[in-house]
Amino acid sequence: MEKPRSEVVLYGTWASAYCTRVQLALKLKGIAYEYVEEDLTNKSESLLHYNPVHKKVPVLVHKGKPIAESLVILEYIDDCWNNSPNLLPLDPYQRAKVRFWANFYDQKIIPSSYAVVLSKGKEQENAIKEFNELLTVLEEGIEKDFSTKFPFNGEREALGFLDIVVGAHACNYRALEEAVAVVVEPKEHPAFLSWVTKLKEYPLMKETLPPHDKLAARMRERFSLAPKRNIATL
Amino acid sequence: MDQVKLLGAWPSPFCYRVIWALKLKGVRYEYIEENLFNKSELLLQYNPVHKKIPVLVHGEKPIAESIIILEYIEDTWRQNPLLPADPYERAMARLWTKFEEDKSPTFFTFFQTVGEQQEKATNEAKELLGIVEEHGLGDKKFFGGDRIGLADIAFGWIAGWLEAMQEAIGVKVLEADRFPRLQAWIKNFREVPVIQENLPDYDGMLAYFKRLREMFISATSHTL
Repeated sequence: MEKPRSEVVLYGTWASAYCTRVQLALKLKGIAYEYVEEDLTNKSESLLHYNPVHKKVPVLVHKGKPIAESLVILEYIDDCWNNSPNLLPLDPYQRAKVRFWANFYDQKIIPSSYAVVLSKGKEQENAIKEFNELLTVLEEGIEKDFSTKFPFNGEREALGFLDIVVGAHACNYRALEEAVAVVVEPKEHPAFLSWVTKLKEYPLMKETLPPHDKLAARMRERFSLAPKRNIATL
Repeated sequence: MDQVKLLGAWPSPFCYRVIWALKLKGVRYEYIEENLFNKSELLLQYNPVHKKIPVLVHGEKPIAESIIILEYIEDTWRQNPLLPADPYERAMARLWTKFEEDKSPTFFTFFQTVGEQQEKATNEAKELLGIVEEHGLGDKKFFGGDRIGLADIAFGWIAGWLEAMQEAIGVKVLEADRFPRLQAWIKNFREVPVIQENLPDYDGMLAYFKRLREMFISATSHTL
């Protein structure tokens, strides 16, 4: 086992949106942390020790105690460092709505985007169609639930929970398009795209997102050259 | 005070999660039974995205997805907390609740399939139970410690529904001589008064699962 590290340590990989989420949250709250880049083809002893069940990143280790799963980590960060800015709204019903859409994004949108990158030809066309349908559900749902078009964090200066959860993944869409295919139909989703574009310019997002070219190259390598791959290797 | 309504469908374990949480906190509510083969306008209005039960309606505010409903109940009615005060313990409760959500499809596959596919799902399900027992429950009486909490409620279907499911199929995942700590947890969970008084009747459930199983098997044979 390596020597004890800082009070807050994040084990992650540079390309993972789930890890970007945690970095955004830590930085937003001004929490000092040590970042450890993992090689998922050669997982460290620490990672296997701290996440024996899933052996995945991100893992946040706070005073030696590990927490896994990005959404759980975000809630932990909000619970533990309950200074402003709050990641989640304070009102119970607003919280429920934010959690609902965060879950929708993870359980529907992200798997749908995997279906796109892991398929070819006609199958990929269908996957893209389905992805756009889900995106419409997301857009309409958020507009209805928060009474505001994107950006739905309204007058807030700081990023909110959904900005982090969605943004960490969605802001990379250009890299995906360069590497694989145009996924988001611009004519169908101007609101979503305008929000993502604004989010990308947000200084904290800009400095935390993986570099575009590096990510596009990685995606090209993984998705456009070979046929279907096992999601587990991602 | 705003009225509380719960749209549900017997014997959905997802609905029972909400029932348990409301009763543990002493919240009065009106229960509305939905026919899932003929969903009401109310349900489609309150849960347009997923069109599923349970839906909790507080005043005019609908909340869908059982775990999100539980968190809402916890945020709104602070008595008899379902989550501990310590942030790390809360995170562990949420982690295991998420594990249950992410891994439960294996149990659906176990119930819905036959032959090789079912055998594979059965083995995976046993592995999952082992992980839950060793890493989630550990030496504790409940996932929540001395008292039941969010994760216990999320896993509650193992204590109330799994046995009937197994009998309906004729295959066991929770073997009698394995998973001693999980077996003890089941016994303790069922003895909590609110749980004891709010479990679907076994015979009714068995008949229900047998019918469901028939449906899945005939669907499978039609695709062969």
